[in-house]
Amino acid sequence: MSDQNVHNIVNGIRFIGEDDHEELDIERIKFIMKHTPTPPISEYQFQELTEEVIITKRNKERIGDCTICVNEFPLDTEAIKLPCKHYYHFDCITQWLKMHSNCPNCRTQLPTNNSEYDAYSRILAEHEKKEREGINEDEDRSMRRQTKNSGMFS
Amino acid sequence: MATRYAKRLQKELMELQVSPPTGIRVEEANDLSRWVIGIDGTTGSLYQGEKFSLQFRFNDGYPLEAPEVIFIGKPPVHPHIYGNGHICLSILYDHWSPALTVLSICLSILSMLSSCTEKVRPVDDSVYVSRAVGKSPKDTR
Repeated sequence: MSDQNVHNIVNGIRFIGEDDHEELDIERIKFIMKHTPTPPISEYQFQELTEEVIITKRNKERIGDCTICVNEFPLDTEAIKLPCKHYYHFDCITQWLKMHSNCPNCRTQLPTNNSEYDAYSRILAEHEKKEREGINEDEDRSMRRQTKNSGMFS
Repeated sequence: MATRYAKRLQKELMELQVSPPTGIRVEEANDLSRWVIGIDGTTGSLYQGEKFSLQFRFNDGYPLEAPEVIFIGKPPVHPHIYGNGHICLSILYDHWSPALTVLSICLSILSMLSSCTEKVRPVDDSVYVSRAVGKSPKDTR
């Protein structure tokens, strides 16, 4: 990334921090998100969102190996299951999520310890959903107001 | 290298040496932390008939951190590959995932070459190359 890009991002962050969400430019958010690595997960979210699954003869084959260390899950041990149904060793996935809060396999984003980042993610997700559904302009405005509120209270 | 993950690198290396996909081969891996992988331009692409060498350097952080990957020797002329061999590919930097492998990186780079429509260097090539002397591509962004 060039210095100019970094400069743009820094300006972009300031712009978003200081201005009303109504003024947010989707393209700008997209740019920022594209060049910002996913922040870490919070400890609380990890407890809330993951599940411990005991490896048995029945589920072992379906679960496969841990894609981080490429080792198997021994029988009768626990694997960690993410909401997207991907499984990892506890040590492997916690090390990763402490760096970036997303699934290594499918990149599904989990909540991060950075509420601003999560708010941008939601804005982008809503924008993409809206684009898919082809909502007209009036609804577009009311949607933007909602986004503004959800951003403020996150 | 942390023993837990050194095993993963050994596994990856063995699989690449035992059953390399067409157009990808291990040229050098005397030391587990530095490999050279040869790749061939895909048939039907602008790079058909050309051969390139990629250098992979792994530190203790792999696979939680991306390896450093650059072209050595003569790099392909491509809008996302600098004259010094540095590659502009997000999975090598901000969009790395530990589920990616040496093989999947090679395939991504081949796919990047195959989708190229014009052989040109990046617009900021000369500026970047002079600024990046002696640096890892991971430290130049």
